[in-house]
Amino acid sequence: MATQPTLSSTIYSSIKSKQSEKRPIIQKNYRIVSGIVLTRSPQILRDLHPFEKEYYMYQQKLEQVLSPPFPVDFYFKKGSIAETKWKARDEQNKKNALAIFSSFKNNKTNSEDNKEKESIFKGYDVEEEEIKIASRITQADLSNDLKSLDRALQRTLYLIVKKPRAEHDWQFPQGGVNQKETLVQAAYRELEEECGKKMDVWFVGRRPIGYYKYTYPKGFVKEDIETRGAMVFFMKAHIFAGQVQVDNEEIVDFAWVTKQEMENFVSKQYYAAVKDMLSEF
Amino acid sequence: MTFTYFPRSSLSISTARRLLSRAAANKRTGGPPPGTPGATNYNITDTRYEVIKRILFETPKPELPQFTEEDLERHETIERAWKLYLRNQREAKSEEMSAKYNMLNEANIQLEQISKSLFDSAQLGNKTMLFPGQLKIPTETPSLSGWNYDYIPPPEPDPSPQTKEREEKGSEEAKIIE
Repeated sequence: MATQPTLSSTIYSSIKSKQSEKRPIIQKNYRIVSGIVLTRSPQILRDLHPFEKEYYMYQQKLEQVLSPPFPVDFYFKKGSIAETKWKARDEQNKKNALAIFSSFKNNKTNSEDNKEKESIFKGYDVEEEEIKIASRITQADLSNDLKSLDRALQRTLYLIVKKPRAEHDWQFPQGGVNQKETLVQAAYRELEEECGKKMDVWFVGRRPIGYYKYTYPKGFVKEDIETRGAMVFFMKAHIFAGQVQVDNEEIVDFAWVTKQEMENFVSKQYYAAVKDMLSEF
Repeated sequence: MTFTYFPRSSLSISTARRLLSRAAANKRTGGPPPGTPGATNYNITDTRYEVIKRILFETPKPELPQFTEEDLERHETIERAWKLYLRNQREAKSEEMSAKYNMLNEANIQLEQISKSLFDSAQLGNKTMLFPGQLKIPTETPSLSGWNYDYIPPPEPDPSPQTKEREEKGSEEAKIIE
């Protein structure tokens, strides 16, 4: 396998390891493993909290009330249609704005706001081209398709894979680090082997972001009888395009889940060890 | 006195007029001679100038409604609630960040104790590293085409003759050993 010739040494110039020796690294009877926390970052901005919405509306109305009057005679020609439209809209805005003060409280509150929105939109010309806007809630959201990368666009999604065994089946993709290989190189290689090559992945630097030590359960088949367990070093990566391809040997299934949803898939000890690395939202 | 531009909010009509008239008096009279092409008749007494000056230098007072004690109390409560909300958000974010940092720190400390070579290769910085262009900032709405599932990785470039030679030597050595 050849290294890509590059002008400056990047993480990718060293990411492809030389396939010389495939002996695993074992230290103090624990196999060294690199895991991959593959994240799909949020694609859209978060929805505003109801309090935020109300507060911003309040601030807008305050600004309306406290700002100096607009020089209508400077910007609009006297007696023009634009002037009359503007004056009508301005009057309506002022009425709505003054509702925040106690001396102007009328009985009409919600209905007035709704009418306000409608009247503003009618003022715009229909001749303008319709701009197509995609919905913030996608088909994948509605069908709750866990394999889709279009789901939960506001949230951070993490990849978890299923191994063909009964207990501790769901986990982050991981694999053993070989001799003369760095953690990132091992992570990249394992991700390609387990999840296919049809993903645009970028590893965030070379440092591990988390550490998890575990002992193999009693029935586990080991290559070397003396190894008691494994020490996993998690590497952070981002996915920009593509999708996971299950190889059906090491990996049987996969899912893109949020931090909260992961609790339902992954074993308790694993979640407790891993949750601090993940983003809340 | 050189004319300095005051913002709309700080000048009254009378002072603005005074400053402007002084500036006009001190300014050297002249400009392009009346016959030159492109020279328009800038008559200072034109009402358009009056209007522009009023717009730029005067701040008309807003007609403030009658404020009550109740209004003030309401406003202060809203502001306090907002600040509290922001504080909670900030604290939650800070906790999340510190949890992540602790995991990172612990992992690197453990790695140092376990394997020196792995640790050294992990701590290696990259002074010329750039962030990829695909790291997109979240937008108001998603793209119309959605997620690109049909990603094809670019083909690997042909190795340079030097690396090719090195590879061939390496494979030859391996054959001899076997």
